[in-house]
Amino acid sequence: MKRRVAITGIGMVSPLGNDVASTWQRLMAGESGISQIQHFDASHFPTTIAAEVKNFQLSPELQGKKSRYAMSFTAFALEAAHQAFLDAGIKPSKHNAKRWGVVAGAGMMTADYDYFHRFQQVAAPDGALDWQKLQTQAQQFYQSVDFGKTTSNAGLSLLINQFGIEGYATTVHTACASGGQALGLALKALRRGEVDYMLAGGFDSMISPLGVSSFCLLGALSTFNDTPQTASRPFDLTRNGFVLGEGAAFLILEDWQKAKARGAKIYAELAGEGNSLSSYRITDSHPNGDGAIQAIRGALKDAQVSFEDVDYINAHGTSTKMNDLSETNAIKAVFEHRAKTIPVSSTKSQTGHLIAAAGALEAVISVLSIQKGYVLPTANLTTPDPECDLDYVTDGPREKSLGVVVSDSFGFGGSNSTLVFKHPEFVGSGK
Amino acid sequence: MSQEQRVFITGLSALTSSGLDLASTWDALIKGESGIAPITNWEIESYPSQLGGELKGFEPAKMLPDKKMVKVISKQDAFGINAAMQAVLHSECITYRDTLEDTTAFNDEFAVFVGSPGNKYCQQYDFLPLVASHGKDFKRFAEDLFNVVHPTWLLRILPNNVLAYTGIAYGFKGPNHNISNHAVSGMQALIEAYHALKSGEASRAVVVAYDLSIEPQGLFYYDKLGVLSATGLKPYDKAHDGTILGEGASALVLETEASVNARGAKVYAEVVGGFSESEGKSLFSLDESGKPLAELIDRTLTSLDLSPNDIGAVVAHGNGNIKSDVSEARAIVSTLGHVPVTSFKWSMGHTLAASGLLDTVLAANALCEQTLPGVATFSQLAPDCNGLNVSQVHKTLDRNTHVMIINRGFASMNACLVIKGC
Repeated sequence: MKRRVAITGIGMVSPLGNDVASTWQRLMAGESGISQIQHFDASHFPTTIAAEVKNFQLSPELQGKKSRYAMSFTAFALEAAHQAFLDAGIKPSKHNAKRWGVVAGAGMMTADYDYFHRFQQVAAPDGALDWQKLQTQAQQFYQSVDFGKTTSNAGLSLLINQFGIEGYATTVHTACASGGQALGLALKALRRGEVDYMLAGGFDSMISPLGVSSFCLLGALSTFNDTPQTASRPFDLTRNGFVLGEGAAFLILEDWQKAKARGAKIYAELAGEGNSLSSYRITDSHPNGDGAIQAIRGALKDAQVSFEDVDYINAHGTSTKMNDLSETNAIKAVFEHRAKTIPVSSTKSQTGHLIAAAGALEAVISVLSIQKGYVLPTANLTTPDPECDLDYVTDGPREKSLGVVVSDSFGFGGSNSTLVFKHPEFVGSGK
Repeated sequence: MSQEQRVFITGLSALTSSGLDLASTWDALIKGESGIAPITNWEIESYPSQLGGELKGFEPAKMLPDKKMVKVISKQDAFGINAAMQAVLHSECITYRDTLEDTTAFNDEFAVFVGSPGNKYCQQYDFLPLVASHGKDFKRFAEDLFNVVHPTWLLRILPNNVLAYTGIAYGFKGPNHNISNHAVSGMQALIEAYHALKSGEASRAVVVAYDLSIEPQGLFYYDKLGVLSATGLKPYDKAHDGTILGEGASALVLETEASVNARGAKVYAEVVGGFSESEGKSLFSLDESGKPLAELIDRTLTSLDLSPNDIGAVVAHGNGNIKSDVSEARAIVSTLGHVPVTSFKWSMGHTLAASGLLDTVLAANALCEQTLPGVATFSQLAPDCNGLNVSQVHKTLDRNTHVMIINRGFASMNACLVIKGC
């Protein structure tokens, strides 16, 4: 018998709002978080748009010595986690700190441009590195917080230290699958009894000169610069790339019995995870959905539900040619005759693609969909792609009682993650 | 597969400054030799600490499944992919796969778990000419971008490249994780792979960990933090004064008992179980009393139904850093008493993300060889490590005993794993 895992708290900092309520409200209103990049002058890049977090400020109670190593995106993580703890009404104490864990999907960028520029001015003034200069000018260059900010597990350390977590702790990075895989790993650690409570989610920002450059070099970003609000158009025939987003989302996962015993509000059950590798190409998923198919099937099996039980699929839906086709084909392969009757939507059409945080953000959105009884739409799908022919919910939010929701996250490198969420009162069809 | 499975190690590899394979790395431990030497890959003459464990004679183009791969991955990725290939080859599992009519289930149940160092400072240096020319004039920066930086720059620095290319090289499609958590990355990847097999989620897994470790910008900060030695890595010794970083990678192949039996695989050791925990402290802190580590050791023993007497030897973290050595010694002595202790970093340097997995590979080999190598750089116990049973002398190791491997990293992380000889 698998240990059941309840979701009892949620928090987020997203391009649509700096908390759960405002993000949900704007999702329901069909608004877009995408606009011209403000973080730096991107006007001469091939892509000038992104889904940025706006007017963000770290809550006063999170400021101080424990956040001295925070960068912008790790500050998003602190804030989203803080919201999730408040929402759950529970947090680690000295008494139970070892029964608390944390797993995060962490972004790959660890140094911001200002730091890199400062480093270049000292160690490579003409563009060529001279390590002796770093030593001779060490006094001017060295700031102890720099190492703390740029170490690869700095974000995890901030979460551990800020919230007093003394149990299982780790970060994963499988590109765009990171957030989903983080939740999957957290689920497994909870099930095997390593901890009773888990802070799980993801955080990322690649909206920086180097981050935007990297995707522009690859030609992976949408170039609908004149129409940012409709640039992310998953499953649309005219889609031409994804739109970078940033932010963080965290959930409090809790042993079901303990959550019940304390009378916690249970949003949903994190019921299953499927995790596979496509082993095809670094940037492309297999056109027939291979890899993604195994992840979706694995998640349904793990959650002990049939494809007949699924009421909604929150798709990875990046708005790239190949992902959207591959995901569509994977859904057809797994859901067979039901494929065209299950609502499928990509909320990246409004939030942009939060990369390592995407799976966590969409997990929160899936949970809210269950709680509120609404399927969110795929915005900007106005020109149907004949090869993408599922029910993508193009007519605005759809009221629907949801028992089982599936959320997909697929990453560069071929890692696939599918999560299954159940309504707290879901009773299976028995099929 | 609903019943819990026993998990065995059927393939091993190591790639260190002592040698580019397990045999030469082990040989150096037995001969008391070290791969640590003045760093030659970078011009750092003015650095206070110039020692490192660099790989010698590593030619990635000759050691990858496809020589063109060097253009699309980073140097440290090449370490990891090569280590994975060596372990898979050692396990002979592909030879078995070649006998199957339908390989779909074999591949779908083959997991890939990776301990990744994440990104390194040096991976951004392709942008230095652009930044030097244009600073924060991003208009000119953007205009010059495509002339200066290679279009696949991002793909070369993906933190999950080793995971992706290992999967592609062999067609493995099972569960996977890419764990990036400083020096416990590899050990946590191993523990998760163990659970994936134990629970029946997969039947076999390749676990790999790797780290470039040595890069001048990182060395600059490690030195400022006061954790580097300029003289040598001497764990638990009265002269211990810091650690020395080393390049490296290692990998092992895990299989369930059912998978082992199906192909009559040779087993090198059994994974009994492992745990990891944070001490809840800040990024560069640890509890100097050793109490949280002692609690983790106790928890590991209790959870695995073992008593201290069941542990025949400990492969300790032993990174030569005074605070780490002392707190670790206190934890071991208080929980396991006079158990024989060794550590391996003195020979190849601290390989950070790869270190826990590398120590496990060498511990498994120690069980096979029935020899616990001594610490060649040890001469006299540091007073604060009082009671620790460590020495320069090699000891006989019972093939059927349990060995505990201890692994530690930034973010006050501790990990503890137990393996058993077969």
